[in-house]
Amino acid sequence: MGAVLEPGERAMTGHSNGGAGVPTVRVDHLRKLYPVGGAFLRAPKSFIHAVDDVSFEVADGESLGLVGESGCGKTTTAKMIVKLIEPTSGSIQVRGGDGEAVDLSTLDGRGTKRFRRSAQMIYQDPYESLNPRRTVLDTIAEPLVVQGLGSFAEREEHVMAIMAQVGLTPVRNYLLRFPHELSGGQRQRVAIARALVLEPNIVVADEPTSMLDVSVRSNIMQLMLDMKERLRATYVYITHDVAVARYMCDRIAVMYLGKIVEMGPTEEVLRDPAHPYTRALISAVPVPDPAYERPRVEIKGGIARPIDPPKRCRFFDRCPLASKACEDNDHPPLTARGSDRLVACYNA
Amino acid sequence: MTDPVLQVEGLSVEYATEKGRVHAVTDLAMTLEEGEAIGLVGESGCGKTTVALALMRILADNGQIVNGKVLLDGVDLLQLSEEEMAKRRWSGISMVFQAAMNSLNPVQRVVDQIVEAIEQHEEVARSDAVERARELFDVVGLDGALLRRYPHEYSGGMRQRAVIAMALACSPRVIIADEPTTALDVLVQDRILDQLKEIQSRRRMAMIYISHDVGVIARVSTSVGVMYAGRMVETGPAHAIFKRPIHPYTEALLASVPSARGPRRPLRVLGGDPPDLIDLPPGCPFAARCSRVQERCRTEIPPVVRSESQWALCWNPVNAP
Repeated sequence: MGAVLEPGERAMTGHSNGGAGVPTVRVDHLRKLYPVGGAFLRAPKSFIHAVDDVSFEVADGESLGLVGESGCGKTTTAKMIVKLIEPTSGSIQVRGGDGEAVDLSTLDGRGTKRFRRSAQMIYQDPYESLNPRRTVLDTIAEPLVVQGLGSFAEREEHVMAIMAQVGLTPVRNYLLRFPHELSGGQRQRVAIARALVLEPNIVVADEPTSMLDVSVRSNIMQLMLDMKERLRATYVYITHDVAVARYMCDRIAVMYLGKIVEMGPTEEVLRDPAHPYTRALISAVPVPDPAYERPRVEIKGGIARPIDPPKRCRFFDRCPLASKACEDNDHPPLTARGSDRLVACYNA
Repeated sequence: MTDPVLQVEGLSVEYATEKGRVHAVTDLAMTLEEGEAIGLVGESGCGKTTVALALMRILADNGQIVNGKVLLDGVDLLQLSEEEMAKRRWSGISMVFQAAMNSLNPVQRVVDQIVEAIEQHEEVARSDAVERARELFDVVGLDGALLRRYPHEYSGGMRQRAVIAMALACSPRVIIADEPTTALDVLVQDRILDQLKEIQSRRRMAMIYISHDVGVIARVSTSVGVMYAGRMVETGPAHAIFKRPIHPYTEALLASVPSARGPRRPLRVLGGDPPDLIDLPPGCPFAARCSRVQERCRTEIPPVVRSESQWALCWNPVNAP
């Protein structure tokens, strides 16, 4: 590798020198509101609180899982981290490939382009995320072209190297294929190769295996783990499936209606979930064992949209532990539980 | 032992395509007793949905049942005229599809769609049919007030429930559910699975549940059929299949699935792809990916190895049957 990237570039990342203890991603009081209603020249009446006061850090080389159901704000959070959408308020600091922490809100066009070299996103649907008219070679080479890296021959060489790494082999057989000539798993490999061709040190993956078939899923999970090792990258991994998170993530943050309700080391949270929502979520995931007798966790109703949420716990309506405190007070803050866990609940 | 509700023998289905004949299902056998729920599991393209469509006789125009019998209470559905078959759809055998939105008419209120389905099969007064629709909504956990609404006013989970209610409307003997919860969130899925399971066992219906999600199969099935490249490669009671699979494919499939519970064991990665269904290999279809492959696996179709209740097609089983 490194035919295209200048030598020494990766050496500046915190993996190898300095910056110990400085997180690679640091999110502070992040908020994203979407207006609903309103009209031309008329202010919107309400807001969807898609992400509401979310803070976390991801350490260098760590994999943090954002876990929750649709509408919980996990994808919105992810897109803000790679600056695909702008937050309403709050800040995101990211330590890029040069080892410098930057506040994403300060980046101009050129800064954003440079930032993309160190932070890339992998999407859920490999059928939607690839341009059907581009060959595998063109697709994977595109980020190199955009960044103006290498000659055509150097780029091709680099693309072939990354294709071999993601298992698109024999490389010559795939180089000039179009997406429709590939299976779902192969498409996702192309998407991963494209995201990793710049050797980013931050990878945000939005459910990259949820659209894939069973056996292909474990292949892609293994590939994502191998590539993380190889690039010594930091992952933000989004999933609705806690079983997948168990294999992919060192820590998880469970989100509900725009809030993180629980955060901690994956294995500990799965073994002993504290928040009633986390408990429900974990008990609802089917276990591949017909003899398994699961603990029943009953929660009421369905997920609502967080439009102008009232000042109380977001989970109040559905919570089996709900008490007067949960209704009278604002949404509970994340408070420490033990040395490395956080829970937002008055009664857990 | 009572007579089986559904008995499938030697079922083979092919699709005519520009590239040649696709052998989607080959020589498939399956038996379902009253109250039994068989989970059909396998990778996409293994033929599990084609089996369902063939049983319902609603294959696409280029699909053809080239061989086999489908006995519903002893009557071969494949020998019936189209009119006779139409009478048995919904009442004898009904199906819940993966995309609920596509099985509901968007410009008709849901109550009218259910009532219509009932009226096509039975001589009932409209008011009785509406009453039954209301009961069905209650059974699947939907508010009766929703009956008079249109499908687009429903959430995804509600639609899927409405489609299940519709499939139950004529009290079928067999219900086929084709990945009815894959598009739903886990908590919604959880509740629908509970309800479906409850209704199925209370009504003693036979159920065929199709999914690639091994966890869901474990939840709902009393028995399991594992399909690979159009063949049923292993079948037996759910607890036996999960605990002691005979076929190497079953073992690999189960080992590739992450679990949120129990010890965190390493995931098995099953490499390679299923064979081309137009040009199937002469021997075992799994031979090219199998870790236990022997020479004859590549040239000869494997024999059935069986215990009392479990069988597999294999030359070199993982576990003795």
